[in-house]
Amino acid sequence: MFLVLLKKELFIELRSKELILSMVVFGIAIVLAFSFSSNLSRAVVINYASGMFWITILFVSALGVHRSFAYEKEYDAFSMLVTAPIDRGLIFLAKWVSGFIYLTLMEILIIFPFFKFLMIDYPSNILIAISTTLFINLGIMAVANLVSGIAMRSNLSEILLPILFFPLVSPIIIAATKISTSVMLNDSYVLWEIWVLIVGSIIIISGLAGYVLFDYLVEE
Amino acid sequence: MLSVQNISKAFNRKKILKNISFSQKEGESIVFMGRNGAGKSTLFRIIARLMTYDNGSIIFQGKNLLKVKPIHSSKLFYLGHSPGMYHPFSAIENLNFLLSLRKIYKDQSEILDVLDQFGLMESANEPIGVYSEGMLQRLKIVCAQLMDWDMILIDEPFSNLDKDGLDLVQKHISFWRSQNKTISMILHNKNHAENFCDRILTLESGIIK
Repeated sequence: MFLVLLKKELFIELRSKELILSMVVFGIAIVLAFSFSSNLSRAVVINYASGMFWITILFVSALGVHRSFAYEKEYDAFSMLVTAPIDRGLIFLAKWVSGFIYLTLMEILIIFPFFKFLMIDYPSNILIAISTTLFINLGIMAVANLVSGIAMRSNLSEILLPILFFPLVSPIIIAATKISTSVMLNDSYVLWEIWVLIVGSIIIISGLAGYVLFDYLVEE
Repeated sequence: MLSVQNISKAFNRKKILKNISFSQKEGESIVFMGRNGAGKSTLFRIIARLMTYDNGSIIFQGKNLLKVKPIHSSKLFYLGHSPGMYHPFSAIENLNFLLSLRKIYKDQSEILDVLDQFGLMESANEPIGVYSEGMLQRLKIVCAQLMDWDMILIDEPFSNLDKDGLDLVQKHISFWRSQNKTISMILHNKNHAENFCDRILTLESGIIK
């Protein structure tokens, strides 16, 4: 059943292309704004680049997850999903995984302009950079989908989503910035291990909470 | 089949439903009538477990819906006021998805046959976002026809339909009744109601009159 739900999430985007397109355009616009508005030396930019990147991802993920749940609200499609005899936690898992895929795709599309326009070098240990980024994406999307599930049934969902999402995802963004800066500077893992553990804890807590609570969250 | 006992629901401290109780036998057809805002759709959404309620119990096929997972209410089917489908998908894609959610496997020819009966064959592969209100209403009934249910809750099945559409939906509701299916409908037209039900329940100010 999880695969049926995941397939729906991916196909719906393949059809409309609204989500990825809006995420990429918004992401590139922020990257361009950062690169053309700052006149900093390369050494300074390297220190701030991770923060800039994760702030971009923060806004883009809010946009993406809002659109993902908007599909459910239009035509009240969610009612058919929720009344189906399925484990409602799987709806959360499918949204989490599809959100992770979209976010990763979007990052692939904006990462090259990001490094190019900010005129910084790619990290020397590319495998660690990719794996930590994927790990952080999982955390961001776990929180984003949990919060969207809470906000969706409210009449004020468009206001409630950023109010809940930005403070709750802040620990991940702070940890992400620390991890990425350390990876860029080739620091020893011991120095940034704590931040990885923080993101891991948030993934476990948000993932479990989303899976268990989604049954109740989706009822009006 | 269904026993609703003392269901109450309030929005912002305003009581919409006040200790609603009724029961429905297998094969019985009930029509709910009442003014706009009387709480008919709210009652249906509560029975379908789309909405929480303040107190009371709903027993469907011997199981308390509040205490069991949705997986145990697979024979209860809800069709709301809205289509309940995804607008970027075509009619066929929506139907295939909804069937797979309920683990029902149908031949594509069978799906196309029902779409054809409802005059939706030509637009079967178009996204339903381009459908008119009447076409969406027909599609909802196609969906109900393909599903496997013992009891259906339909919110205004005759709205937005032209003469042909009305005839088709009436024909299918009559067919379901002949199959001893249990039907609950919300209607506003008393003539329709009298033709398609065994009992009319009127909701007024949150109570059944």
